[in-house]
Amino acid sequence: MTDKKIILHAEHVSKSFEINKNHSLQVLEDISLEVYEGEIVAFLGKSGTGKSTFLRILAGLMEASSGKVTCNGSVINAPSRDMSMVFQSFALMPWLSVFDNVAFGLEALNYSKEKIKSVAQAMIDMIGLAGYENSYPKELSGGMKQRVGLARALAVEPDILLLDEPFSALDIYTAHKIKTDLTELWESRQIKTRSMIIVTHNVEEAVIMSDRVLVWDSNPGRIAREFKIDIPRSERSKRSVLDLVEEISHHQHEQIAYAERKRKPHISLKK
Amino acid sequence: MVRKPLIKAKPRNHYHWRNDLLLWVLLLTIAVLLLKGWHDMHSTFSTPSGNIEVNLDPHLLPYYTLRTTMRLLLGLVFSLLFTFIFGVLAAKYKAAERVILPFVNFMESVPLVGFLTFTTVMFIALFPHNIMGLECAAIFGVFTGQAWNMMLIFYQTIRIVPNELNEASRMFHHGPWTRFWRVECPYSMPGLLWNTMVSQSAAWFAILATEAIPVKTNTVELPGVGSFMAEALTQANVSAVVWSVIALIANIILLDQLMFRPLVRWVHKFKYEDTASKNQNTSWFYSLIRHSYSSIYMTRGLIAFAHFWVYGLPRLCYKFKLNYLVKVSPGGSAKVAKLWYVAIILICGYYGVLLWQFLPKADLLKMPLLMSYTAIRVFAAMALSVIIFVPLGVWIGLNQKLVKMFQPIIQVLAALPANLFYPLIAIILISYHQSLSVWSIFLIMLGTQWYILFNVIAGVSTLPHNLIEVSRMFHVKGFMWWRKFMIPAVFPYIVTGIISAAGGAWNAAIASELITWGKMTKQAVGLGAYISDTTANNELAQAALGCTVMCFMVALCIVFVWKPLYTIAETKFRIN
Ligand SMILES: Nc1ncnc2c1ncn2[C@@H]1O[C@H](COP(=O)(O)OP(=O)(O)O)[C@@H](O)[C@H]1O
Ligand SMILES: [Mg+2]
Repeated sequence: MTDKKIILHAEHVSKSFEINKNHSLQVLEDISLEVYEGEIVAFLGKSGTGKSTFLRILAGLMEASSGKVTCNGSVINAPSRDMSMVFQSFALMPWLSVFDNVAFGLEALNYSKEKIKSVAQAMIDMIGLAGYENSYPKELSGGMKQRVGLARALAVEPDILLLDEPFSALDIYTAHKIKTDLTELWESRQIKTRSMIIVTHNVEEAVIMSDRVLVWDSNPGRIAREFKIDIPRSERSKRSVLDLVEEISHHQHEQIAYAERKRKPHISLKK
Repeated sequence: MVRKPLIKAKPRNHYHWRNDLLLWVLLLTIAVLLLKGWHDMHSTFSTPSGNIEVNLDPHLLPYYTLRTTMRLLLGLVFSLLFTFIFGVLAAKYKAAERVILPFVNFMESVPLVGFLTFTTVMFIALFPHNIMGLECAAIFGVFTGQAWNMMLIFYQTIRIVPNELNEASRMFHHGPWTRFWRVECPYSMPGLLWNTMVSQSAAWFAILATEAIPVKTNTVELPGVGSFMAEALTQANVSAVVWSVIALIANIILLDQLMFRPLVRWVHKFKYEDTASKNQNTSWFYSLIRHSYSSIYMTRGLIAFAHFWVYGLPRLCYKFKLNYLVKVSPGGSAKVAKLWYVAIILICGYYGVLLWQFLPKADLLKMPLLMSYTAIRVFAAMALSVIIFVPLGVWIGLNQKLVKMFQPIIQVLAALPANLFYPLIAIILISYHQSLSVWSIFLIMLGTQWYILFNVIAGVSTLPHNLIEVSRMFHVKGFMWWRKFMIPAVFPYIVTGIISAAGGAWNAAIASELITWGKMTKQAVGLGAYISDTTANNELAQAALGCTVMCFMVALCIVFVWKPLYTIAETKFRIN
């Protein structure tokens, strides 16, 4: 790994939200992370551990309370052109057609009209949306909506793609199809994007898609453990990853049970 | 018997007898004031000094405000009655809905200021020797200012009660009566209250206008802030004008603090939302009641009463077999429905013919020009409000801190009726010799701008956060940001704002085409001036023509402008 180039680098990132004048909620504590070129990293953890918050800080949508993030060597303090994001709720503009939604990011890049048209159309074809260019998001199924979200994010050719639970709102069959399509595009280098961070709470999804699984723990949120996935991508299947999935799940259950035990006396004390 | 729900145990130290003391002093003061107001409403015309006249002594203003407030409250009571009865009828019976809805939709945007002369004449004729006629006219004005709006929102929310709530209620074998009070009514409370608050400015507008009519036509005057203001204008008394404005603002703030704020705080618990709302509303008066010992007993009494009202009443009805009285089979028989439609058409036709015979045909040709003048002013005012207040609303709405800071201020500002500012502007216009034709556009804007600002702020602050993040993520800025993102996103809210402002805008257009200052008057060419002129000269037929044309114009506007806009907003731009 050492010979690989670091694309995204987070150093000692902490974040706390002010609830009111006297109270603040520490959501992230001292998180460091390096993402190399050509790897997929998965964030795994129960909800409320601060994964989305961290992703937003990486994306430059939110400011960290302390620590810094660099992408391709430059410090991130506003959304960078090297990154793009896919949302769980799709976040499509309901008043724009599929084509205009995909072109949304391109138009802000001041490309010529022809270039926008060709790039957006190519992306639409690649993601499997051909024929739907003039539909509106509310006419599409959830899976199609997320394909639009993916196309929009990939169209601007980011170096690194951030995916915040992209498949959680979909049924498992649709999710599986989109997942395999995305991994295939990435493996065959049809898309320029080389690195991805994907947030999920599905262990199997994390193991099958990624090179590293980072397991999160809460109160305050931090990366508790790292699992390297050494199984070659061509050999990954439901069966071959079973042992690893078991191991990670077991680790998570223990962690959650421990957290519950820690909380119990706290509650009874107040009574 | 079901056990009565226990009152939530709260830590004792939250209660304090000082709160009780303050509460009872406040309540008793309010009660005494209301009784005094109620008593004086029933006095006769012939007082020892002859006629009742409005005196321009500022010391009398608190009393005048009390009288006006009485009318406002009674108007509110009638509006609520109307809302509940007709809202439920329209929501439950198709045949009633078909008649009520178009009527109310139309009434909502008709400028009633034009009609006030007629209603005043009618009510005076009803109570010839009593001030009650004028009181009724004013109360009716308040009613027309808010009832339509309130009924519409009540009807709409009853119809969209989530199905699972209704099903849950059925599972517990609730009858229609119980279901209404346990599910439908609580569900629609927040919307109804919000609409009532928004309609306050219309109510104040109407009451100021009605109280001013007797002053203008030299008949017996009704003591109140509106007549005080009108009198001050005809006497060209600057300090009296300023005093009346101050009294009115104080009254609006008082009502807001003692009535609407506590209600908003209380109604908060009926909100059907999964997430706890971020900015909790606070009200000192509500906390005062909550933290007094008396509230424990009051709550207990209220709960007992509510229990009887919701569960006991239907049982009583069954006992005495009264339920057959109210048991109208829903949908009714087709024959009854047909008869009902035919009757409605016949009545409308009959009065239409009568009206047509009454109208002077000579002035008919003048009308299109007057109509277009007034309409152009209204549209110009709307356009200006949109251009100025949409960016402002977006700027405020995007920043939660600003929203928190501005919301209460804007709420009070929006409750101030536009005609409150007419005197001040009359002074400026007449002393600087400006043209009213242009300036009345700004007078109309005074009313419409708040609706647009309110709605845009609400729209922006409920915008899904992800969409804002997307526009930042993809570096969308400047003109493209407005065109592809913000304007489409707030478009439905702008349309809602414009439509709710429409009634007020026509009102303001009618009322602002003629202003008086002492012996001088300023006029703008338009339908409003025509109506005011003809009524002042007692040419009732001409005035009726003006009103009819005005209704016609408003109907055209609804059909060809607001409805299409609304449809576009609903189908293309709604986020869900
Ligand atoms: N804007 C905010 N203000 C206050 N608290 C927040 C805010 N955003 C997130 N949180 C809190 O931060 C914690 C982590 O949230 P999030 O990052 O969404 O977790 P995850 O994505 O892992 O489910 C949660 O407890 C949430 O309530
Ligand atoms: Mg999340």
